Amino acid sequence: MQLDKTAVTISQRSGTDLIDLSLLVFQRYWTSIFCLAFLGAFPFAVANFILLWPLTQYDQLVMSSRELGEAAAFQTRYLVIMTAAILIQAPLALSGVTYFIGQAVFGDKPTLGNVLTAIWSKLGAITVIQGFLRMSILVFVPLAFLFQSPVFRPEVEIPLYLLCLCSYVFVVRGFRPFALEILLLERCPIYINKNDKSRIAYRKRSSWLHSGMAFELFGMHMGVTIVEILTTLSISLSTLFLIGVLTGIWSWGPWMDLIFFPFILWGIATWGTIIRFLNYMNSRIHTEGWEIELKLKAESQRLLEVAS
Amino acid sequence: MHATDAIDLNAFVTTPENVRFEYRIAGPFRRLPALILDFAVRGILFWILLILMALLGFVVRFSGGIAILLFLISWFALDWFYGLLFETFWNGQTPGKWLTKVRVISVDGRPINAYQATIRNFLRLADFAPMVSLELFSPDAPPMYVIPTFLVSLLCMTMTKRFQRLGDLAAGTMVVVTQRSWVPPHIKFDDPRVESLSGHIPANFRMTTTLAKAIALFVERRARIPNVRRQELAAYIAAPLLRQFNFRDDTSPDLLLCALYYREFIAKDAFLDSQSFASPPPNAPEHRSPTTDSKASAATISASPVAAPSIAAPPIAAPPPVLEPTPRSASDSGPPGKVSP
Repeated sequence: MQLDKTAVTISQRSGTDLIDLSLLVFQRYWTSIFCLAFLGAFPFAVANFILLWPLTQYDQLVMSSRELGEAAAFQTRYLVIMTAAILIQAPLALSGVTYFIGQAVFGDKPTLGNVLTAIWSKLGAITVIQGFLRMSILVFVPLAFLFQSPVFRPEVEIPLYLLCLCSYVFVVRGFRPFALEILLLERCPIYINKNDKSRIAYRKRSSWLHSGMAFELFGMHMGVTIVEILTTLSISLSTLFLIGVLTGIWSWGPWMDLIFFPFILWGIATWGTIIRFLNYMNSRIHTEGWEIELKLKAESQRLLEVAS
Repeated sequence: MHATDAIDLNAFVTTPENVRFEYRIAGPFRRLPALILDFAVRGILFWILLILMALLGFVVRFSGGIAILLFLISWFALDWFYGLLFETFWNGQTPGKWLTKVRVISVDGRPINAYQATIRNFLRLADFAPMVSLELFSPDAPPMYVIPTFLVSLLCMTMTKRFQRLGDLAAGTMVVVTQRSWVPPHIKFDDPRVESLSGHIPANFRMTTTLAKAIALFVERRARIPNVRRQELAAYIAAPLLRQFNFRDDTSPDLLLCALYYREFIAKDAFLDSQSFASPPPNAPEHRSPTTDSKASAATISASPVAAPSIAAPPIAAPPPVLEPTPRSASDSGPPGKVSP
């Protein structure tokens, strides 16, 4: 592996340049990214479909509710919950994409087997950090409650699910976005023996990487979220237009609710994963002089080869 | 992997004289603020025109029909000719593009002409497609398809290498960043140990181009990197070189790289400056810039018995490099200037 010959030019960039660059990365590796994203997202999408199905029975819900009197209000509720669920689950579901891009940047194109092996070897750490601490698996608990009792309860849903859960995930991910990169690409363990000086634990590494530029990272997270919302709107409205042209139905119907909108959200989440990885590279360049490290390492290898 | 294969936001233009220019391409999200700003400027201009017409109406007392006609004409003119006129007469920039430091140029690197500006601005409407009706949001709203989704433009830009929208493809143009790149100038070291150590480096040690570039990059950025990390980075190169030069193991890696930089880029320049009017002595060291190709000259000089310097770990206090803007390419000139490849 030639460390200074990377598939993406390593240099410091602005936020908008990173988002633009993510389009070029997607353009080059779109088949592999699409396959890995589909494989990762499919189980989560099916689980969401089953658990949120009762929330789409708008007419029944209107009859049983005193707070919301219109089907449109229940539709909005379903879309908000679906969006929140996908965005919370996405980093875990798309961890294969994270690993793939991390390898592809250095010219290696891992096979599906390589990706699965890498994820399997870190499954415990990923489950603990991303699945439980960052809620990607725990989010199924409120979804299961909603499945059991889909009646709208504003005193639970708004303060607990929407404000506490979503805000917690948004803030944690905003200030410390690179959990999966540290676990999967840097392969830092959650716990290490005190005598082991050769490795660095996840917590310490995360603190080093994030604390120096926490507010820049949060700003970038906000910016990317706005861009993702605008792009989701653009694609959703265009899909609606296309459905209207093809079928003559110009309204947001069940097909949009159950199939197209979740599909668009998973697509946007995949794009977000690429942006996050590029931002990770940018952060390492900023805080650790990563591009210098790659160049110096490569030169060191050459010097050692010449010497031997 | 060839260097140009790497994914990056750049485009290369080679002139008939075989001069190669590199442009930094502005992608859809770099261009988005310019679009929003231009919408805002157009809105402000429209309101100014409206107020002027209202005032004129008081003075001249023309009828309501004429007022509506003038309103529609000014709306049409602003909507269709704003971008066209600005880009033609302001060297590919509109106020929004100027503020966000982007510019439209031809794909061959030349400034755009009126014909290209016309085509790319008249096709703007196609880039807004598909337009969505107001009815979608309220059944009582009129069936006006006025809400742009920009999906055609986004897809088109994602699928082309230079991030060209339909208008750009038809007109043979691209949007580039005109922001100046920041290249660190000559770096000075206040610490006398750098010069002293550079004198102990074997005279016959020659750096390869890539090694010189890597060391230059390190020295230019080192002031912003914490000391521990700086030593860690420098150690990659310093470890094999310390053995090769027969230096003591506790020599500061950071200091060694600074000394190498000093010897390669500062001491040689000073030597050449002092000899600029005289013919070089026969045993003068060959001056090479980091861009000179010297593949054959690997660092293979065996360590001659050099008195090992004993300059250990304390960090040297080099002042942070003063960054001065240097134009990167023809596109870096100021907004009203012409781009001439």
